[in-house]
Amino acid sequence: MEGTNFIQIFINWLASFEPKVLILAASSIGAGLAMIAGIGPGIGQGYAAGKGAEAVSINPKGSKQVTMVMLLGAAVAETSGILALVVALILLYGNPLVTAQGAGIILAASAIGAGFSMIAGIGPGIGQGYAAGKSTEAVGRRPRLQSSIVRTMFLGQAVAQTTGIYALIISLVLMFANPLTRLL
Amino acid sequence: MNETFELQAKIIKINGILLCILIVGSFIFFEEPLSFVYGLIFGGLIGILNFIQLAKTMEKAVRMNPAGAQAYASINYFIRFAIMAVVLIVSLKADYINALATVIGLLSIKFIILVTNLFNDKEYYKNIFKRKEV
Repeated sequence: MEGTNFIQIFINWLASFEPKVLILAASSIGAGLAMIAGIGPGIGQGYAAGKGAEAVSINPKGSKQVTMVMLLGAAVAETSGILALVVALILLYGNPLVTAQGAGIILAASAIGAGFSMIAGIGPGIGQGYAAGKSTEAVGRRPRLQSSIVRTMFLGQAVAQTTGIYALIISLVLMFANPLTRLL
Repeated sequence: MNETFELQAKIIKINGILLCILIVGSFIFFEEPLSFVYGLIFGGLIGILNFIQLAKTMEKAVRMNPAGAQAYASINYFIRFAIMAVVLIVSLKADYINALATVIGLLSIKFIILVTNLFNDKEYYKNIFKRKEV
């Protein structure tokens, strides 16, 4: 019963603010949440670089091929970080929810949700980095199979990127074409 | 030292061609294309510079011990991430640069890397669907 009271008190406290204030506050939380996805590519690229260094230490002659594969893999792994950054900066500098029509609390929750959904970007970031790391390791062992390994890596990375794209779509829908405000 | 120069040159050249096509396309399809073109050029150039910086980082990282390489690559990623944040903030703040075009420019190099390496050998895809036991 007390828990319900607390929720009631919290909602009443939120309702005491102007809708625009609520939306702005929620947008800043959303932007911060979206930036969490930036960790993913950091971990992934670090892993790839570690594996690259290992591969070169095992097979120093294949250093050129290992670096090339790692560079290509790491470049693709960065994508979800950029997407998260875009959503965070839209929430901060080009927020469409501020001028949107509808109940303040729904718009505020949408701003938090838009940021929250971008956390999914951690997945592709780490996954693509992992693929890049394993590919560099493989190229270090079997340099002759480089083109085949690279292609397999990109195929995996392209598929891994899809969840990041889904997160971006949901985030953009919440910000620019929010279906929830029309239900009221 | 510059082991990946040829690869970088190839990708940057193709990215340049794609950007030129997009710029010409925006002149044809938009009534006021200048802000979109500025965005494409701005984003595209920063994307290319980021790629060159990534190449330098990776060339150096492979010569380190694995733990050091991990930390070095991650730190450099966050530096590039901060640079991209500044670029996107500038494009969102400045009215004469289209932010969407900047994002397209930034991501164009990733698209080029994927496309040039994925679809350059039909045999690879044929082999996937070929029955091994026959």
